[in-house]
Amino acid sequence: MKIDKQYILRQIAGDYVIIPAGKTTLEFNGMITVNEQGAFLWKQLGAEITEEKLVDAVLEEYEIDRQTAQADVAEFLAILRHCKMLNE
Amino acid sequence: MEAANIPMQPQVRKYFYQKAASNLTPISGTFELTPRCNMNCRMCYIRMSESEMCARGREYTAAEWIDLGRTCAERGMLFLLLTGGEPFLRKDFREIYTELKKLGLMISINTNATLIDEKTVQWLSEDAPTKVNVTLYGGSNETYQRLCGHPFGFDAAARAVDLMKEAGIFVNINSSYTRYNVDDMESIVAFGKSRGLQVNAATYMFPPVRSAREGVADALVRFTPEESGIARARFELLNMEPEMLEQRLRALHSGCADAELSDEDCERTPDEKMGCMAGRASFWVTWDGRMTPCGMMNQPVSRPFETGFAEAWHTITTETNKLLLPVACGSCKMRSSCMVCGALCAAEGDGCSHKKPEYLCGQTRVYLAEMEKAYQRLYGG
Repeated sequence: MKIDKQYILRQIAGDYVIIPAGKTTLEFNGMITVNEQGAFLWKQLGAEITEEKLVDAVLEEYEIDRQTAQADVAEFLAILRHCKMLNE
Repeated sequence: MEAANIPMQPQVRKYFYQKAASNLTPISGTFELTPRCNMNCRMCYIRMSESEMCARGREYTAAEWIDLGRTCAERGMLFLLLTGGEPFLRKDFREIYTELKKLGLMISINTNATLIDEKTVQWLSEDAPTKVNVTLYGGSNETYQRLCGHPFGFDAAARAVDLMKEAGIFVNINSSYTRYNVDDMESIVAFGKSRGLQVNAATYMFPPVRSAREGVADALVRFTPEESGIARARFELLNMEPEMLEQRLRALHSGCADAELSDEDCERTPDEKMGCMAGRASFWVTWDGRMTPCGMMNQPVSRPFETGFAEAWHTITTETNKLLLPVACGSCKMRSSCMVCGALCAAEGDGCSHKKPEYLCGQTRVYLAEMEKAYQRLYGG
């Protein structure tokens, strides 16, 4: 899976914000704010990656247990699926 | 295509502005790309012909604007308004827009829309702006001819609005009222409503502090304070949806209304300094390279193309912080319904921001009286 549409992730005044670009602007005319962990996951999803590898990446970056990482990744992916931002 | 005419999340926008203001991040900028315009409106304070422009300076090149945009984005700019003059008149507008868009900016464009055709819309929709603010100057070609010297301006603008809406580009209608077009208010509001577009109105016109015509404005253009107050009330009565209008009238009647001011590009604040985010979170760069807190101010001023952005922004924030609104406004009962801000006070007060802007006092008094009349008519007794 990977991020389906054209978006640009930016860090503004200490916050992460995802801006639509290209044709995507016509479908989503707004901004998405994410926290640091969300920005990390977003960056990982810039290239093709499996859910399992995503969990591994989280475990490498943050000191949390696998169960928590799996739950966090699943929740984030669910939001992206709901917003039709994932290409699977 | 289904139109994308949904407003951008105002809470998120407000959050970013407030956070930016607290640490002086230049989150919002305006690039006034040119003073040139294909129309010649009687009230315009920027418009110049090519020869007038050349006598005063030069337009900055596409490369210079793009480079400035890159620096601004690095410093935290998220919102950018491209304006003029008429920005679509620049032959290199596409290059400027395309390169700035790549920086991850939420770009809005101010335009009279008369130069926007099918090909322009097709190009724009490849990487659409957050918003296109189309200024409508009237509801007919006759008004455009009278006010703007454009014999078929209305038809051209209306067609462009419809093309953009059809393509799914988010369009707002801005309208500026003068004695020459105030009778078109109803038709402009109807134009917006029939297309489901938000209509904003400017019924207050700044004195010609930036006029290219050396302050010699058409005396017939500007309303008296009373006329301006009546026009402001009339617009709200025409434009607001019934439920919102009832809330507004009841709030004003009880004396506790928050200002429902129409210019959504101004982020208002209740402080006694600028009364908005200008010079703390936002800035304006004029066509000839002057940075000011707001497009309606001549001072404070800095030169980002010459000194670099960081120094220019530092000057603007430092000097803006010294401005104070008039003491009388702080305890005025009409304050929450008044459009007062630092730019407006400075313009009304010959550059002095703490001089009481009597024009505004008169406008607000009449506006409130008109709204109270409407309240009594609809809900009184």
